[in-house]
Amino acid sequence: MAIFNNFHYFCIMANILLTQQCVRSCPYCFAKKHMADSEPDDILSWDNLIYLADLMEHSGEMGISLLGGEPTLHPSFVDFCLYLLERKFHVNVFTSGIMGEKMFNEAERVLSGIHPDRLSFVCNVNNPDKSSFSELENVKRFLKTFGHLTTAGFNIYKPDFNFDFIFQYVNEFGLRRHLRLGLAHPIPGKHNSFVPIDKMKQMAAKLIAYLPVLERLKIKAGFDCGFPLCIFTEEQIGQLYKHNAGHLSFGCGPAVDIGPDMTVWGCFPLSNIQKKSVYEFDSMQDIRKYYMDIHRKTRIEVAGILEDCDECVYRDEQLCMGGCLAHSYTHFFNEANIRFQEIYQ
Amino acid sequence: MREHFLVCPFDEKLLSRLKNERIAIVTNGFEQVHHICESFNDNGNTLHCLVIHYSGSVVSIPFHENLKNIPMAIFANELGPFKEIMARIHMLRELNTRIFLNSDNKANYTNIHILASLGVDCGIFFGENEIDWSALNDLMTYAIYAKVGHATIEPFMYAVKHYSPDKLTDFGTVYFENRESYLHIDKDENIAHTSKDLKAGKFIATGVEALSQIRENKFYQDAEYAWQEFFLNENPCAYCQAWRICVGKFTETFEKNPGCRQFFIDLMDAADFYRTAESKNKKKEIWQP
Repeated sequence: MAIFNNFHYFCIMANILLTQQCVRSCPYCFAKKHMADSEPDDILSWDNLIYLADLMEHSGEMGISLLGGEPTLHPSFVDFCLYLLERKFHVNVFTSGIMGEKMFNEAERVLSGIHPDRLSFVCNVNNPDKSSFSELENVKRFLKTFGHLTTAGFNIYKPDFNFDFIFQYVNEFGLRRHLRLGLAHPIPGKHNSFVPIDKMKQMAAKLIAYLPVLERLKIKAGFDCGFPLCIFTEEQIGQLYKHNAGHLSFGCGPAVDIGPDMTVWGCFPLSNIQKKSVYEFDSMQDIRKYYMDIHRKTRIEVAGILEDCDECVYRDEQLCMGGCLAHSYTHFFNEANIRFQEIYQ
Repeated sequence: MREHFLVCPFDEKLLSRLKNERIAIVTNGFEQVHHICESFNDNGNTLHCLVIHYSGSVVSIPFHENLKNIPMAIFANELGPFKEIMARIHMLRELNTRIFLNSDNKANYTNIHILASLGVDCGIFFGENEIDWSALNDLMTYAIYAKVGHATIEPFMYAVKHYSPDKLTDFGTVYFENRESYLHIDKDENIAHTSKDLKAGKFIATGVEALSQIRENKFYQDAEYAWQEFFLNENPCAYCQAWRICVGKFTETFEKNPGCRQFFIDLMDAADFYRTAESKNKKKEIWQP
């Protein structure tokens, strides 16, 4: 829900998982739990794609994000994109950029000429130091062909990070001059890498240190959801305000992810809680309202990632949502079942 | 002009003998399409539809701008690669054409779903293999209940549009097989109720002269009440509440695959739903000059 500028658009789009399989095993992956619990062979069918496209069109939402796993592993990935484009949807694909030769050639032939207003990619890139040679070559091949349609995405999962390499990608491959910064979140009840709460200010300082170079290269950085306001100093907020022309938000809300088996949940870190079937809802608005309500109730139980969130005037005024709800959920493990019952479902 | 449409193969001699008729020409390719259309300039005959039984996939059909105004019902076994369909989709939407795909190919249930959602009028025709009633029901549900606009899917749209609780609804019309609407005639001028009867030599008359008096023809009149035979035999369809909308089309396969019963009951529900929705949306209509 959060973010700056056009990133807001990505976040209000429903996310449709084409497949549960992935080609990478990132240490921060917040979809890990969901993937592990899912049938690996489960892929979205044509009939379900049409149902979802109808649901969105009926709801007046003409933007769809396709993700996975790795969405390009779906054998009909290119056909699905063509279909949705023909139905006048804006299609945004979250990908690692790693795909087989055959799929890449097909995608290059069919999709590379589509106008950026209709088709876009967010390529989640990892630090080359942590990537294999073949993975890097694959990513570069993807960026070389689809750079003009692509926004780089980088997930922060430790306080000390480095995304210098992205600047080279942006210049070398002509990527869009935006950077989507995600913050890895804990999966309630599971282990994955994420920035601990007490290290968030350190992470924020590192992020702010990047602003001069981002501005010099005319790259706008936007936050994905779950960044709390108070990890930044007043001065840093001023810098961010200028960097993003006043569009600042520190939100956390239901992203609405829909699996190939037509289950729906209110964002990946919470995928093992509150799963429902898409067929239980009449519109995307109904889905959002349902998960908004659960988020709100959870916030009543645990306001935010810090104890101070309870009394925070900025949270009260919804300037900040108190960080990722997944942190709040970690409080509910290993305790008696005493809170609003909806939040356990 | 008599109310029946005639269904016949393309035969110039036969066409020259017919006058002021509405005719569906059955053919199996696209080579002769323009020649067929041109031969309708004489005798006051009008082309109702070209019925094309095509053995290739839909993508291999040489669609062209100049087919735009020709009414066509294309019966094909398969659709072909999706990307190639997409390259023709704008043309397909503009043609005066309905594409029917064979139920024997399981992928066609989905192909029809895709085509309709992209605005191409289409339908399913029943092949020789067992029908997947569940998939057919899903397709019918989409055709009638979907909230977002799409092209029509036959025979569902015909069935719900023409359904009336107090009379029979024969969706065979969609396939040019309904004795109330169509008569089949071959180049030797043999006339039959259905294409199947024509092939089997079950003629009701011979000679185009017989057409004008066909309602007085004994065989024609006998067929009018032939459906009542169902209820004189130990036929499971005689007890089916959905008989009035399927008219016993699947009675031969019922024992082996009885899924038709639930399907047609659901189709009747869909028809009720459609009629209710139509009456709710009905606009006031005053007299017309």
